[in-house]
Amino acid sequence: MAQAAVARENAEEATEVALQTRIKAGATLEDISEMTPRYRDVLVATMAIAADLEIMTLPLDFDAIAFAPSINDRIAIASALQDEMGHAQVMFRMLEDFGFDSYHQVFERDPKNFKTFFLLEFGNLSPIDVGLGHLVGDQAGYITTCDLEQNCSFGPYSRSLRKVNFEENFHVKRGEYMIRHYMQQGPEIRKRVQERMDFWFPLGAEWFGATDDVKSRTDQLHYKIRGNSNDQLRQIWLQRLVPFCEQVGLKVPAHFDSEKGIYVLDYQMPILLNLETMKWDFRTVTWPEKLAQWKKGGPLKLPGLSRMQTELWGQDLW
Amino acid sequence: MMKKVIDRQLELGGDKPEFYEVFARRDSAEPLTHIGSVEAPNEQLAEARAWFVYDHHTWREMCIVPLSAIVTITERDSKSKVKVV
Amino acid sequence: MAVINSIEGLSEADRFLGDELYCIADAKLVLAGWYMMVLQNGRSIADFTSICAMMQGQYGHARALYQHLGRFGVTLEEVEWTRGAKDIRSPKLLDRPPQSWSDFVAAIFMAEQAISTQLSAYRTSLADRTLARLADKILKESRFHLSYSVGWIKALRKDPASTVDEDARRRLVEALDWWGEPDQPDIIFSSGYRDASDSDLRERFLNVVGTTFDVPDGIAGPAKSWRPSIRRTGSPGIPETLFEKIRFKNRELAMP
Ligand SMILES: [Fe+2]
Ligand SMILES: [Fe+2]
Repeated sequence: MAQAAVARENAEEATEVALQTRIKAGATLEDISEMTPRYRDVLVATMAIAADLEIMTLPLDFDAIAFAPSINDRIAIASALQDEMGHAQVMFRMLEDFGFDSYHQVFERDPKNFKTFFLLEFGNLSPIDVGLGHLVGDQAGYITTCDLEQNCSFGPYSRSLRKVNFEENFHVKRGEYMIRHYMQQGPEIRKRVQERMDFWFPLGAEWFGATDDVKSRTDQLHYKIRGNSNDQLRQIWLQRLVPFCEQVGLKVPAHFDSEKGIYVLDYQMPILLNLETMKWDFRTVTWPEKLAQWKKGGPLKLPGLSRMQTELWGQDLW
Repeated sequence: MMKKVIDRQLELGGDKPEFYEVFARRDSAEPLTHIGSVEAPNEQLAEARAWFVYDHHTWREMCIVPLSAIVTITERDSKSKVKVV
Repeated sequence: MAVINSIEGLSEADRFLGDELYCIADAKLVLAGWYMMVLQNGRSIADFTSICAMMQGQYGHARALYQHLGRFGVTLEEVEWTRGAKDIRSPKLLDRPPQSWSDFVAAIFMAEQAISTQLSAYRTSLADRTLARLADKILKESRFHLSYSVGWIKALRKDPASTVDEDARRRLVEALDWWGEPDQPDIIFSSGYRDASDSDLRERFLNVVGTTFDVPDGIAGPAKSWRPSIRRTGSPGIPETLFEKIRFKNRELAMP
């Protein structure tokens, strides 16, 4: 009995290794039947998070549409949200083929079980946040999805991200355009942008997850679901964001380290956000403490997702 | 606050959603390409959803095909008759 | 139409035309607001996408019409900022909030059909070629808005208990307020800006509605107080609560 189990385990291990070798040699999978259970789990987990992140933009962007300053601004943010819902639709559609029921996932699942990121769990306060959301948040998302498009060994997922990335690039450009404009609007608005950037920047930095010394060779990398590690992706984000901020006169807690030849944060991750003052405490904490904060989530998550799962009519509308 | 209750027969067209595959081309030089899929309980809604979901280009030609009408050749044993993109 | 250099130089027909276009543009502005307010009530991910798209479509059309109204002295400043609830000239149909998804679908069906019907009479206008082209473009872009509501009506009707037909009947009465009484003098038609009179357009509207819903015979026309400048009976303006929701905010942060 025990011998049979060992033999089975060895056989499974051998198929895993064979698959990893094939993938390392550049093979692309096209169908579920080519996957090992472990590959499939890692892929599905990655796609499920991506789908949740896209759908979370509905509650996030709704207020931004409602408080938009003009017809043009309202069109711009509605257009970005339309893109995001298109991305969600593609992601959930793909998950259907893996046995997910997207109606259940979107409309019936307990909001607590959505895997969204901290960055998406705070309401937008003004159009400044819309610009920063694009500049900081969409930028981070775009870097993640570009990596997946370039490297993902599951062909259909990689291909589906072409449209996603084509559109995300516009969101980032829109953010740069907005923030550049606001930074030319005099000291009062510049100050408002700086205050909100102080809030947004660490959220963007932690979008990419734990640092590589804590979490480096993950299954996602083994199976080439993605190509770059958390720190590598964070570095790309810093390379794009920090020079832009310097150019428009925004201060951010990061700089170029000419000795190391890379951008570095001025603080050591992880740090905690004080949810009462909405200010960051830059003292380094432990990863379990940070994970606990992420798990608890930001103030928009549960109400926002619950709103998506309910309907309001009549006097509740106006 | 009223929780949304989705009536699957009515709104999805059955226990499982009905999918329509979307094909389009940008200009006469480009082949008609499978660009994605939408789910809808009838053709009119499928047409509208396809148009709105895949509006990242101004298509010269677009059409939809019910997934159920597709006969697979290479993907006979696959769970997905047509890959998403 | 001759290029108008000063607003005082507008003929009577031009003034009527300006008012009507303002009403059409405001109808689109408020309908866009409806899509915004109902967005999160969507019943599938594709609905979220579609409603976002229709919202943008309507705002885009409204913007193009307001721009066209520039020749009548209308400015975006006025359109977006200096007006209050009393100054919005949208159809009465859009005052009352949707009571359910089915009422929403019935109402947007009526609103989209009504606006497109009215604009269809400008498509051949020789008096204003720019407007004719704009009307044509808007109509083409609105086609999928109509398939969207028709598709939903069809889906809802599969349920024998569906209220969509009742909702549509109520919304139809509200929608007809937009045309006032049949056979009134119609200077926009007689001066050649439109190729159909308001009475004909009301008929045309009832005919297209009839392809989807039962239209009762002799459906009542509105009372005598109908004013062409606002295309409604009764007092002008939309409910304050609706205006508060759809008005623009944070002016100092508007993008150029
Ligand atoms: Fe996205
Ligand atoms: Fe985005």
